[in-house]
Amino acid sequence: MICHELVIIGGGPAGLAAALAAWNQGVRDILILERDTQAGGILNQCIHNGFGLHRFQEELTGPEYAGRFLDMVKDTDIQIRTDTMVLDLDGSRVLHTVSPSRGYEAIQAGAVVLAMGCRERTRGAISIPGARCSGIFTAGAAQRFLNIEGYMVGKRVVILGSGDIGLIMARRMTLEGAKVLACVELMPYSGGLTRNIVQCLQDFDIPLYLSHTVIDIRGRDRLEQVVVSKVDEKRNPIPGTEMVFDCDTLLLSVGLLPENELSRQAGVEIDPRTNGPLVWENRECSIPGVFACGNVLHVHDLVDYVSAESEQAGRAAAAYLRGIHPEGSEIRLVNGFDVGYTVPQRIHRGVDSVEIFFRVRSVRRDTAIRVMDGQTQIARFRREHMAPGEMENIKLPRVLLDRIQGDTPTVEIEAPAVGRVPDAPQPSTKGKPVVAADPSGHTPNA
Amino acid sequence: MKEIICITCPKGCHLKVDEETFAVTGNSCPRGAVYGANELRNPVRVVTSTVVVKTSPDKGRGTGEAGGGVAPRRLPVKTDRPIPKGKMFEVMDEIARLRVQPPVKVGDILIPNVAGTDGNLVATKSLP
Amino acid sequence: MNYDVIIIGCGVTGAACARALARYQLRVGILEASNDVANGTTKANSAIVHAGYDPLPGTKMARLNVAGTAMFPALCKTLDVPYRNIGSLVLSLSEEDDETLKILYDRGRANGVPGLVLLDRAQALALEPNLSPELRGALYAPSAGIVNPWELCLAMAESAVRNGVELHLSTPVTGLARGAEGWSVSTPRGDFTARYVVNCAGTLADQIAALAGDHSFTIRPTKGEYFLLDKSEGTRVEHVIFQCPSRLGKGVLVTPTVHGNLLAGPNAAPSGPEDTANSAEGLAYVRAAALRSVPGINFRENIRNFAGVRANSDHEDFILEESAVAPGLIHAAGIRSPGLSAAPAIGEELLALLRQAGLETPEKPDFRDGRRRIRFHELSEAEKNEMIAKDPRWGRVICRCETVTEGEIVAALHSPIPPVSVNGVKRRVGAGMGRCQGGFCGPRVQEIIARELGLDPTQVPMDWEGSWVLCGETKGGAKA
Repeated sequence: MICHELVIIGGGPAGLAAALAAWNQGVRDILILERDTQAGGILNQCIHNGFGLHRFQEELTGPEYAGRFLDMVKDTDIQIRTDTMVLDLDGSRVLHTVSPSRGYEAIQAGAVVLAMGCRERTRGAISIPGARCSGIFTAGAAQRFLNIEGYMVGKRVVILGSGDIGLIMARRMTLEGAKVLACVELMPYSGGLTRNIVQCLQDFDIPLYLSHTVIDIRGRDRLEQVVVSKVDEKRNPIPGTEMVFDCDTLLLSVGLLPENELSRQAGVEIDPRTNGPLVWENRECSIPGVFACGNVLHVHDLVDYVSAESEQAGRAAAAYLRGIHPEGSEIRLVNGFDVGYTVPQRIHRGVDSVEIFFRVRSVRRDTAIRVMDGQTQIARFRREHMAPGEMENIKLPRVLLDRIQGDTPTVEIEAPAVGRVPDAPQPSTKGKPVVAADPSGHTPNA
Repeated sequence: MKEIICITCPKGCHLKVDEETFAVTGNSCPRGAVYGANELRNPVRVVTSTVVVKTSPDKGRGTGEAGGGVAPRRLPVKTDRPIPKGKMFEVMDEIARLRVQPPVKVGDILIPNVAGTDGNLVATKSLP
Repeated sequence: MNYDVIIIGCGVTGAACARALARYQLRVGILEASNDVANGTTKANSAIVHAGYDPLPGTKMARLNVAGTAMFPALCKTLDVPYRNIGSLVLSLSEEDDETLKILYDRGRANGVPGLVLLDRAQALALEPNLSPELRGALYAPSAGIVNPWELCLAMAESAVRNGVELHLSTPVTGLARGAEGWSVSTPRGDFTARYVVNCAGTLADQIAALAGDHSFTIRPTKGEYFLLDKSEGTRVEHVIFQCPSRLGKGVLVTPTVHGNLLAGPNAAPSGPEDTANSAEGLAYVRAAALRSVPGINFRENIRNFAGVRANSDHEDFILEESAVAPGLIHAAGIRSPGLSAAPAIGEELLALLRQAGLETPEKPDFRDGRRRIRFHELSEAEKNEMIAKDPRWGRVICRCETVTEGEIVAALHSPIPPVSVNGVKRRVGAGMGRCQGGFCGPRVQEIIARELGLDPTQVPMDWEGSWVLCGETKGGAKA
C-alpha cells in the first residue's frame, strides 16, 4: 500500500493552511486530496471582497485569499492531487481514493486532517411546500453557475435566508442585470453581517423582510411565483399576511452543514450540536492521529479563523507524527445558558492556553461571557454585542485554566434574556430596505 | 436628515446624518461619525465581477489528465480601490465588454481608470 | 409512420406493454408526451412491490398484482434493475386493526399470496424493533419488496427499443381517428397510423379515450406526498411498514428504498392530473402518520419532498379492455396501486387482449432481452481500475453524495434512450439524488449533458420541457 506521512482531505482554505503549518513544523511528506479540478475550495467562487482583514490586514477577494495560500504551497514540496475523490476512510487511517489519472488506490496515512468543508441546506431540509418546478437553487449552486461557469440562473429573484451567501448573491445578481425583488428572513434578525445588508441590499433598494418565510412555490415548468408570509413568534405563518412575488428564481441561503460522511465512516465521534467531530484543543478527533479543521468541524463566519484553526490542526498533526501526544486528564466543556456549542469540546488539563469558539443562541447587547467551575467564576469577558450569526471566542491562559478544579466547567452567557428582538418591519412598497437593529456577523462567510 | 446604519463594527448603530452639515448623531463612537459623513458626502464601493475568458476550442474539459483539463470560462476581477457608488453600473458595462486572453496574473490591470473613476480593474486570479 | 401497434404513454405500464410486444415481428411505436420515459406517476410513488392482499379476490387487480409480483425477481435480474425482496408488515395499532389484519390475511390467501403469517406483538418487534409502542400485531408478507420504479420502466423500454420498438419522446397525442386502415394518431410532430392503439396514458388516459369518442371512464387523479430521508435514516426499518387500510386509504407507509434512503408517505387528496405540488398540510399529515408507525424517525434528516399523482378512476378495478365504442383501442387505464407491482403482468395481459382483438404475433427469432448497467460504486477494486484504464472519466466522481462518476453519466447519455435533462441523468445514474440534492454536481452534470449532446448548457432543462435552468451567459458570452 502507498504510504504518506500526512494526508489532508480537502484543498480549500482549511486544508491548505493545515498543510503549510505541518510543513513549517518539518513534515516533508504531505499529500492534499482535492475533489475539484482546482485547489482553493469554495473561495474560488466567492469573488467578492472582504476576506483576510485579520490575516493579511487587507480586504481580499476569495480567489486572492486562496491564491496567497496556493503561492505559499508552491514554495514547498506539498503535493496537491486534484480531481481526486476520497471514497473511504477507516479508523486505522487507510484512505481509498479514485481519480482519472491514478485510478482507484489505497493510501495508508500516518496522520489525517479532515478538511472537507460543508454543504448547503436544501429545499428538502426545510420542507418548503409548493410546486416541483425548476428555478429553485441553493445560493452556492447559483454562485457557481454565475461566477465560475458564467451563466445566469434567472432574471427575477427572491432570496430566502439572509445569511451572507444570500446577501452577496443579491448584489451579484443585481449587478449582472437581474431584478432581486426581496430577501426574506424567518428570524427577527438577519443572519448576515451589517455591511452586507447595507452594501448588498440597501445599495440596490432590495427590501429585507424579517420574520417572514416562503409558504408556497408556484409554477408548472419554471418558477412563476413565490408566496411570502409573515410569521409569529413561534415561526408559524400568520394567515392574511401573504405577499405574492412574480419571479423566476428562488435562491436558498438557509444554512450550512459540515460534511462529515467520511468522518462518520471512520468512526470519528460527532458532536450533534456542531454536526462536526468532537475535538480536543489541538483539533484532534476521538480517533488518535485524525484531526479536523475548518467548516467540517463547525461552520465559521470568517475564513481568517478557518486558517488559524487549520494551522493549529496542522501543527498538532506534525507533533503527532513526531510522537508527541498531549497528556493530562480530560476537561469537558459544558454549554451553559445561551451557548449553542463550543469548539473544542475537550481540553487536556495542563495545556498552555486555549481559545474557545462558540455561538450564542440569540441576539444580545451589553452582557458577558463567563466560565464557571461549579459556583466559582473562572473568567468573565464583557461583550457589547453578540449574535448567532457571529462566532464568539474567548482565550483562557494557563493561569486561568489551572484554576479549574472540576472536570466539567461551563461556558455561559451572563445576562438573562434581555436580548432586544427588534420589531418585525412592515413590508415596504417603496423598496426601502428594513434592517434589524442587531444584524450580526463580521465579514462575508467564505 | 438621512438615516443610515453604521457598518464600521458589528453593533450596527442607527445614524442620523444632516444632509447639509454632515453632522452625525446616533453614533456610539467617533468612527461612526466619520463613516456617516463619508457615506453621505461620497459613498464608495469596491466592485467585483468576472470577465469573459477567450477560450480555444481544443481546451474543453478533458478526458483524464490530472486537473481535468478545465478551460476557465470566467476570470474574477475587482476595482483596485473603492469607486463612487453611483458609477457601479458604468463599471459593470465596461467589464461586460471586456474579453481577456490568458495568461493573466493576479493584480494585472485589465482596464486602467475604469469608467473614469481613477480605479483600475484588476485580475484577482492568475490564469496560466 | 405506420405501425401495427401504437402505445400511448411510456410509464411503467406502457413500457411493460412495449417489452411484451417486442418479442414478436411487429411494427410498434410508443408516443410519449414528455421528453423522457417514466416521467409521470412512475417516477413518484412508493416504489413498493406489493404482496397482493389488498385487492378484492376475483378482481384484475388481485390477479395481476400477485402474478406481477411473482415476476419481479427474475425480471429485475434479467434487466439489472435494483430490487430487494424485503417483505412487508401491516401493523395493527388498535382492536379494529386486529380485525382488519384477519380480513387482509384471508383476502391474501384467496388471492394466492404466498407465505402470509399473522404475527403477535413480540414476533413483529423481533423483526422490527423500532415499531410503535402501540403495536399489537402485524401481517407479514414475505413476497413484498422494493424496487427502483423509474429504472424498471427505463429498462423495459430500453429492452423494447433494442428490439426494434420506436420511441417518440415529446410527442403528445392530440387526435385519434378511426379509418378504414385502422387508427390515425395526430401529434404536433406529425401523424402516425396503426392497426391497434394501446392507451397507457396514466392520469391523462380518459382524455386519450375521449379523443376516440370513448367516455366510459373518468380518471380521478389523487395526489400523494412523500418525505425522502437521508441514508442516515435508511436502516430505521428493514421491511415495508404499512398501517391498516381504512376509509381514508391504504395509509402512510415507511420503507427503506433500494438506494438506501428511508421513504415515508403518502397521503391521498384529489388533484389535477399533473399537480405534483407539496402542501404544508399534506406533509404534516404524512409526518405525523409515519411517526405513529415508527416513532423514532428523525425528520430533520429529510432531503427531499415530492408528490405523485395516482391514476385512480371511477371504476373499482383496473380498466384493461378493448374499447366498446372504438375497436382496436385497448385501454390500460385506472392503473392505481398496485399498478407498479402488476406492471409486468399487465404487459402480458395487454398482449393477450391485442391477440383477442385479432393481432397476429409471429415470434421474432432474434429477440434479445437483458440489460446491464455498470454502477461504479458496486464494482470491485480491480473492476474499477479496469474501467478507469479504458476511460479515465470512470475515475472522476461527479456526484459525491452517491459516488457517481463521469463515465456513468456519459454512458447514460449514449444509451438506447438517452436523457435530455438533469433529472433524466439523475434517474439513470443517481447523480443529484443524495443529501446535497445536486447542489455540488448540478452545474457539472449540466455541462456534461450539453457537451455530450452537442447542446448549449442553456438548452438543458431540469426535467420536462420548459423547466429551464439557465437563462443565458453573463456578459453575452464569449461570442458577443
